[in-house]
Amino acid sequence: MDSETREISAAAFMRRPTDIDGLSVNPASTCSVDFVRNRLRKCYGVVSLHVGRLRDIELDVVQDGLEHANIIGVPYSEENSREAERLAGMLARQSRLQRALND
Amino acid sequence: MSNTIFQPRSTTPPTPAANKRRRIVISGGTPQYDTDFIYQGDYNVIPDAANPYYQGLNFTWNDANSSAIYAVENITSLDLALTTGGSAVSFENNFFARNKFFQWADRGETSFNVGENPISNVLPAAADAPELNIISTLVAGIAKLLNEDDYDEEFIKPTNYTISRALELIFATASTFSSIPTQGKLSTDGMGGIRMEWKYRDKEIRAVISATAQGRSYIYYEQNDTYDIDTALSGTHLSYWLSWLIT
Repeated sequence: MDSETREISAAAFMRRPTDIDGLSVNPASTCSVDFVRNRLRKCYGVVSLHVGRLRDIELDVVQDGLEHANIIGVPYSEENSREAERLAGMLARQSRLQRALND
Repeated sequence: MSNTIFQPRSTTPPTPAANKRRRIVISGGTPQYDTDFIYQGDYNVIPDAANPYYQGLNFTWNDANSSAIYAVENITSLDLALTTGGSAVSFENNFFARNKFFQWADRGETSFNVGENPISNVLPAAADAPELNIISTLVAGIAKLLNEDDYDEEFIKPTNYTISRALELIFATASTFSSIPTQGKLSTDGMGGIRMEWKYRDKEIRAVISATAQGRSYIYYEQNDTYDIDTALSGTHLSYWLSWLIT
């Protein structure tokens, strides 16, 4: 996240090797912004995404616990850099900043 | 490949406007030549058949004060044509050579054409937008990344290879662009790599440098529904895409 413009970078939505089941997210219905922020050792900010808009771009969200879900459909860069970057950019544009690190 | 591909289609020099000030930037295997001159008199492009070491071209011109010859080596796929017509100079076809390219930076006007693969390599006029020094902003970004104290075995600090590669790209690009009207943003990928991102109007490019030489590095570019990756991440290609970005 750009600390000046608060623009969310596509880098935040690139799938890492540890994201085995998809991009890890927390449902807003069960997790507060503080909860999300406090469970991460390194947190630049908390953003929100709407499931309906994710489905508009042919992604999906699958909940695998009360406080956890995965965005499904984003490939690893090693699998398909072109689509991974494209989707990361779309997710960045869809995301809405809820709280920045220093708020 | 034979030098014959470098034969100019016309040896007729262009007719420049009187005292037209041009700035030429020639990038190649030889060190950068960057000079301002008043374009007057002859301009020639000749294959350098006499000097096999260069396997390239010599550019010669006469300016107001002196004659000069510059050589650019190892150009392998440039199909060059000079045409007359006002102050126009046209480069046609394969403007890119392998890891090399020429740029005419004709500030404030677009008096040349590039053939079937437009590059639009005219730098914006100085008044178009505030320009940001490409070296200082990006090098400062790298320094900031390195000074982060949150790296561990799960969120890996950029590797020496990545840093070296990023600096190499930045300085190679800066030999073409001293400044651009948008600020590059740097971030780590958490796996030892670095990402550099630029946005300008409806365009975006991302240079992704992997943690190792064996990793996947590339340039991603996007404008509306057009997007793809260029897997040849080099200073030349990054310069090309930055040029695309700002035009």
